Amino acid sequence: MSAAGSARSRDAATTLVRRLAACVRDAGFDPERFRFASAITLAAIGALYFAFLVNLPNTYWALLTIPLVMRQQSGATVWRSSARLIGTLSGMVVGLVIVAFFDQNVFAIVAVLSLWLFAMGVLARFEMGSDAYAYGVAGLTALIIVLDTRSDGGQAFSYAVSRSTETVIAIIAGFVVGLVLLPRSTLPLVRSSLGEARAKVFETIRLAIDRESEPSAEMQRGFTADLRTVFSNMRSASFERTSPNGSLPRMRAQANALIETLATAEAFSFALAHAERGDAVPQPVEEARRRLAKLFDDLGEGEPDAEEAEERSGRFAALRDELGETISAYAFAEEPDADKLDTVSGLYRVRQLAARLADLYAADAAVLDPKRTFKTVKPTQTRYRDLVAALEIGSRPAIAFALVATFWLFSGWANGRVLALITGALSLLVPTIAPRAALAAAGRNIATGFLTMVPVALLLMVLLPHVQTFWEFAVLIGAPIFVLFYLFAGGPQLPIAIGGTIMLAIGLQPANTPSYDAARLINTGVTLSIMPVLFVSAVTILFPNTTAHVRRHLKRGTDKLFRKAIRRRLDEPGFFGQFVDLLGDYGGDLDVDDETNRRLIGRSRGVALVVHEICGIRNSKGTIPEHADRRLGEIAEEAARAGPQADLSSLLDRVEAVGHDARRRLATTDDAGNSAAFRTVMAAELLHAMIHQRRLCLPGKTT
Amino acid sequence: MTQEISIFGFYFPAIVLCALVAGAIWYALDYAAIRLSAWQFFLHPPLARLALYLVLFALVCAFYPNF
Repeated sequence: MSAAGSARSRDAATTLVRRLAACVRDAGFDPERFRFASAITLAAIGALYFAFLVNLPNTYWALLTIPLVMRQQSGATVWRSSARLIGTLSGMVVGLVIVAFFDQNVFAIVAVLSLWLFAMGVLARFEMGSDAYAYGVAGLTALIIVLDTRSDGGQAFSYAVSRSTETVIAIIAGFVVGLVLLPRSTLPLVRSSLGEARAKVFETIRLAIDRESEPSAEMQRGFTADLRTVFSNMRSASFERTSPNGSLPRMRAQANALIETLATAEAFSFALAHAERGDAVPQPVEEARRRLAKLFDDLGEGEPDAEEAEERSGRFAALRDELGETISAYAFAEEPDADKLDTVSGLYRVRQLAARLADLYAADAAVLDPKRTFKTVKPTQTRYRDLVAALEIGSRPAIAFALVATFWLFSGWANGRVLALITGALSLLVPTIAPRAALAAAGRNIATGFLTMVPVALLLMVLLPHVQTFWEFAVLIGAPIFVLFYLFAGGPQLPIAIGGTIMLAIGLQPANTPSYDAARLINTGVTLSIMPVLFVSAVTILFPNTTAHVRRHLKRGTDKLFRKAIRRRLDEPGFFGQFVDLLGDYGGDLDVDDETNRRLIGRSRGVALVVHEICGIRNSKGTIPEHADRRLGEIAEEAARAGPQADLSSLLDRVEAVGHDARRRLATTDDAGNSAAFRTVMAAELLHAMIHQRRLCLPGKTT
Repeated sequence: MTQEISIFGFYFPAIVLCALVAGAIWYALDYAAIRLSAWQFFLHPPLARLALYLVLFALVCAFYPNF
């Protein structure tokens, strides 16, 4: 080749490399996605290798399992894998029992499987994250074992053992890659989600301290969703045994301190905005508020280290103590003194916020420095168990499966069995891994994944018979999986990658002894294409998630948790753990531009404030005056049942009576230091203002 | 090593039993190692933890009684 020719070739190569680099740059090279896609690909290849090695039938099950159990973080992978294994084993046992008892009667099989799907759907709704997924897998496994071995019940046991073995192989491959080769701890994710929630809570505190406005419904929804994510990430992290120096309990204490700070900031905001009887905030309260604002302004932007966090905690604690002394100087009289009440109430709210910020920074210091002691918080249930929603969600896969199975049995269509199986399984499984608002989109994305992979699978059918070694096979199978997960690993698009891998596994059915069949692939493609339509129909026709549906559940859930907290069946952390889930789940799906939705979310937050106050009374030292906690709770409950036009004057009188009883207790010399009585006075003041503002009332028609 | 063991008349691969026994021993040893911060002496702790399991698995298989 001439010198000019080689220079031209060099230029062309350089241009090509530059163009490719530009393409990658434009596509936004994401190292984290690259790592996850690589992990999935390696695990899929490893799983296939081991499955081929032990020469099991249906080796594609191992490939199918990988995208469902592998998560970006190690803890989440262990959680999902454990759920998959437990679900597979329990589904296997149930499947074998069904085969043993009902093998001769196909209609009985359909009925029993529908009941099983219903039960699993109900139980799945009671759990969150991968715990719910375990129930979904139990339903799926029983369906597979029963329907696939229906014509030959004697094979059911070996079939079930193969299924479990393939699952175990996939989990082991996932562990080796996700926990050993490319591990990624969940703790940084917990930290970052806590950081995001904290930023929003601090924004609320800033608004409250500056007395600009109460947090908007959108803000309330934002930090509730973030706190919900924090709880879910913490659950994932609990599956990592090597978390350094037990940092998870410290983070749990931090999250708890954050929730308490948030509730206190909202009470502060509401009390200062609405409780004043005069034209202006009393002078001592304004002065205390300014001091708190100054301390808050001086915090600066950067993340503090442990010493700095401790020092900040000390500064807020000093203000708390000083205000405590100022408040105790105000002696209460039995008869109401509006000015004094306003002053004490305002000072009390400022003091409480300072106290919570001191606690929050102390919790921060304990996270940053593992040698520091911290107040342990016992883990609580963070899932709101909505029975009505569970019954609805359980009915969906049961009805969908029963309908498609009936069509299959009466039409005699051979692929009807596969369709019934997948429709029942996915309408049970997908809601356990996709958020409710994204269910229909998830169905469409799975369909996109199916269709995307049909031509790829056809191409692989042409190429794979020519490969000689496993490693050539691995490259050909691994490349599309890598591309799928690199492009679609993020958030709502993940079902595309999962759907694509399902199509690759079922359509291609890679096996030790290859027997590729284009007709089978086309058949599978056609059958699977009907499934998303049925799935989307199932979630949009059977108990659709309309605004009215979500409002109804939010209202019912708020009332139920409120009732439990008032009757002492839930303590404060227990209430807030479930309340965050309830509001994050249902409140997150409501459009906050709608006035009714905004008021409904505001009502729920109002209820949370009342519970915070009542629990504050119960947790205080001293005797609670005349069952004040229960009386205030009952009054608030009645207010929460009232419509927008209801006459609330009798409730206001009753709240004043509770406040009067508590003041009388404080006015007696013997009981002057009764902090339960003092908090009752403060809670009565706040509740009075809330009822007066109709904060707890129903916003009118919610259905 | 016996290929399969019978549990209530169902035949299970013996290797699964070995894996479970090795897993139980590994779980206890790993817990102790975490408490003693022993894994920090390894360049890649996850690999060392996996290696411990493989060693235990091999030992359990080697000493599995042939009944």
